[in-house]
Amino acid sequence: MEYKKWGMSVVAITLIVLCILGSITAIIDPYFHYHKPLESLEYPIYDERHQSDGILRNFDYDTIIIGSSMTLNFKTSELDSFFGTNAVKVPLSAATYNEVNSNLQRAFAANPNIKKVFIGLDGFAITRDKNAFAFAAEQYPTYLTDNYLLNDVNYLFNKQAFVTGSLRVLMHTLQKNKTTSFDEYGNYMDLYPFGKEAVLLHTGGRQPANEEQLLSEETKQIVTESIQKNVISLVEQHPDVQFYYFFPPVSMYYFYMLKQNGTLKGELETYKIASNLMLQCDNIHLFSFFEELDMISNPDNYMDAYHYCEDINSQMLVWMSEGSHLLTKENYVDYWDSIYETFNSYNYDPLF
Amino acid sequence: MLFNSYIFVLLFFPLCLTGYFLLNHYKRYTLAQLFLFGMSLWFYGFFNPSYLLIILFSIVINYGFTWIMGKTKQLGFKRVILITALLLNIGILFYYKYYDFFLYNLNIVFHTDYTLRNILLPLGISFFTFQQISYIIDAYRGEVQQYNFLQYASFVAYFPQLIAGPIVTHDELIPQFADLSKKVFRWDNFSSGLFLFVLGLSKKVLIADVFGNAVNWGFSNIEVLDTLNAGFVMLAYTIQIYFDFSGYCDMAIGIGRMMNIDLPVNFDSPYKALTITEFWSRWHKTLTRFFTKYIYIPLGGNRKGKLRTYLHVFIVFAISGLWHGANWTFIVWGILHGLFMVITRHWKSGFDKMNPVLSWIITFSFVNLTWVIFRADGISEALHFFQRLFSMEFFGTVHTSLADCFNLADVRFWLELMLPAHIMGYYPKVMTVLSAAIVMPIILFSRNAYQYAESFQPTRKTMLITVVLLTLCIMSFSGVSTFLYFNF
Repeated sequence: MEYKKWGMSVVAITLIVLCILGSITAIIDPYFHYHKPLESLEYPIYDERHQSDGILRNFDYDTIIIGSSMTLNFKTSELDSFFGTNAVKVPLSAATYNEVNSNLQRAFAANPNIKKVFIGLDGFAITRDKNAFAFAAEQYPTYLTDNYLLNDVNYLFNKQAFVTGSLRVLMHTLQKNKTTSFDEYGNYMDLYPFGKEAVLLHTGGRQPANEEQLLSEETKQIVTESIQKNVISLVEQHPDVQFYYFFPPVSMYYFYMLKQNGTLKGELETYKIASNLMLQCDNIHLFSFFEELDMISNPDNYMDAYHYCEDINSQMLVWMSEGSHLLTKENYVDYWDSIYETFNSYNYDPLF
Repeated sequence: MLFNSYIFVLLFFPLCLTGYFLLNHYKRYTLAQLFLFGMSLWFYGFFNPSYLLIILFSIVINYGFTWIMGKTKQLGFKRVILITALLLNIGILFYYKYYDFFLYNLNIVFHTDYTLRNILLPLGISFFTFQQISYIIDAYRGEVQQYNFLQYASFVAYFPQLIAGPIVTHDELIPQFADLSKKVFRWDNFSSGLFLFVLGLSKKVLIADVFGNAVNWGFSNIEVLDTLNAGFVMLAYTIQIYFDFSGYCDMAIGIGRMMNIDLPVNFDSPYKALTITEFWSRWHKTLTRFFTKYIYIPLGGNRKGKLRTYLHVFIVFAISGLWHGANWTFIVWGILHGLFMVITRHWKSGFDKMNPVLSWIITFSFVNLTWVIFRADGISEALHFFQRLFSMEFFGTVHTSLADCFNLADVRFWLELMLPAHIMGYYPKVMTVLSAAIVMPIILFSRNAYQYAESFQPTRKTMLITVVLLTLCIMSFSGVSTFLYFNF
C-alpha cells in the first residue's frame, strides 16, 4: 500500500466511523439532548445528571417534581391523579438549592406550559452557599446543560454515551422492555434494606452530646442569600406557576444526631428563616410534616437517617393535595418553636 | 490545549497542518513560519491567555540578550550579559515555581508569617526556561549562529514540545525550520507520524488515564490499603507516569514528524533497565542530556576524581528533583536517585556481575518505591503509604473501590451480553489484575511505540490498528462521570 493511500484512508475512515457513531447517538439521543424519546424506541431512564436536562427541555409535561434523593420515590401517576397534572420527575441526588434552581431555569426557558412545581427543601443543603454545587465542577456534563453547540462533540463522540446510552436503548427495545416510567425511575425500594438495623448501620448508633451552638450571623446570611437567589427570585419570575415546597420528612434519628451535635436549634432556626422569606410569595405553598411523630420515628419507614420509603412519598402527596400540613405567615413561627420543643425533649431511647 | 482533546484533534491540528503546508506550497515561507508561531501561541494561550504575556516576555528578553552578545566582542561584557540572563531566567522560574515553597519553609524555620501568594504556575515554564538557558549559554560559548527573531520565537513556542518536552535545543530545531526540503508535505512522514501520534494517544487515553483513576483512589484512601493493594497502587502509578509522559512525547514526536520536523526521542523503554544508570539513559533522555551538558560537565564531570564525580552526580540529581516541582517530595526523590546512582557507580563491578534478573528487580523496585515519594502530596503522605505497604497485612482480595476504577462501563456492557450475572460479579477485580498483567509484559518485553513507528509500513494491518485506536481514543476524550454519592 502507498503512504498516500494509507494516510488518506486512515483520515477518511476515522471521520466516517466517527460520523456514523455520532449520528447514531444524535438520532437515538439517550440523554434526550435533542428530542424526547422516539416513539419507535424504548428508553431506560437511569442517569440523573445526564438525562435530567433533556427531560426538562424536551418532554411534554406541565408539572415537575424536583429535589434531592428525597424525591426519588415519588410516583408521578399518583401526583397526576391528585392534582390533574402531567408530571415529570427529576431527582438530583445530593442536589444543592443552586443546582435545583439551575435546572428549573432551564426548564422554564424551554417549556412555557409549566403550571406546578414540587420541590424538596433539604435541611442539609440549606446552609450551602447560594452558588454551590454538590460535586466538583468537572464532574458535571456541562456540554449537555449549556447552549453552546460546538461542545456537543463531548456527547456525540463519547464512547460511554454511545455504548451505555445509545446501544443500551437499542438493547432495551429489543428485549421488549418499556421506557422507564416516572413511577419506576429512581425508586430505591428494592435496592436497600429498611428498618432499625439498616438505619443504625448508617447512623452508627448513639452519639456523644455536644453543647448547643447558636446559629451564627454569617450562616443566617448564607441561608437568606440562598433562599433569595434560588427560591424567591425564581418564584417571582413565574407568578402564574404554583410552587409546592416541602421539607422532606427525614427520620427522628436525624434530629437525634442534630441534638447530640448541638445544632438542633440552629438548623430549625434556618428553616424558620427560609419559611419567613418564602411565605412572602403568594404562589408558594410550603409544607412540613415533622409533627407526624409516629411516621418519622418508625425505623421501618427508613433505610438510613434520611431516606424514607415510598409510602411516605405517597402520603405527602395526599397531604399536599388536601392542603394539610401547610405553613402560613400566621402559623410558621409557632410551628418551628413547637417542633424544637418536641424534638429537644423527645425521648430518643426507643430508637436504639 | 491538550493533545488528547477534541479541539486539538478535530480542529487545531488539521488547521495547523493544512495552513502551514499550504503557505509553504505557495512559497510564503515567512508567512508560514508566522502562522506556525501564531498557532503555537493559540495552543499555549488556550490554557490561560495571561500565560502568553510571560512566554512572549521570556522570548523577547532572551532573544535580546543573545542579540547583544552577538554584537559585542568584549568577553567581560558578554559574561555580564550571560549572568544577567541566567539570573533573570532562573529568577522568573523561581518566582512562579518556588516562591511560595520558599516562603512556606522560611515561615516554618524562622517562625515568620509571610503571606503566600498562591501563584499560578504557567504551564511548561520549566521546559521553555531550560530551553532558553541552553540557548544563551551556547550563544555565550559562540556555538550559535544568529537566528532571526521569528525563527527563535517559533523554536521556543513550537507547540508539540512546549508543555512537556522533549527539551529540544535550538540547533536541533531552528535549522529544520530553515530547511526548504522540509516545507513540502510528505505522505510517508505524515503516515508514520500519525501512526506514532495514535500510539502515544492510546498510551495516554486508554492506559495511563485508567491506571490514573486507581492511583488517585489509592492515594486518597491510603488508610484502607493493605500490603497487596498498596503494592498494586504503587505499580499502577509506575505504569501511569510512564504511559502518560512517554505517550505525550510520542504524540509530540508524531506531530513533529507529520510536519517534517524531527524531535529527539525522550524515552527508550526505561523499565527494561537493569541498573539505575541505565534507567536514566532511557528515561526523559533530553533532561538528562541537558543536565549533563549544562551542569555535570561544567562542574567538572568525571575529570576531578571519584569523590568529586560522585558529588557532581549527586548535585545533578538534587537539582533534577527540585526542577520537577516545588515540594520536598521531589527533592527527596532526586536525592534518593542521586544516592543510588553514586552507589551503583561505586560498586559498578558488583552490579555488572550480578544476575541480570536480580539487578532488574533491585532497579525496578527502587524506581517503584521512589515514584511513591514523587506522587505523594507530602513526605508524611509518602511515609503513610510506605507504612501501609510494609504493614504485611493481607486482606486477601483487591479492594472493591480500587477494582471499581477498572469497572469500565462500556466494556462491562459487552461482557454482560455474553457472560452470566454471577460471573460478571468478578468482573471488576479480574479486570484490575488482568490490566496490570497485560500491560507489564508489554512494558518489559515488547518494542516501544517509537520503535514500532520506526519500522512502520503502510499496510492494511497498521491502517486498521490506527483507525480503531484513533476512533477509540477520540470517543474516550469525554467520559460519563459516575456519581457514586447517594445520600441526600
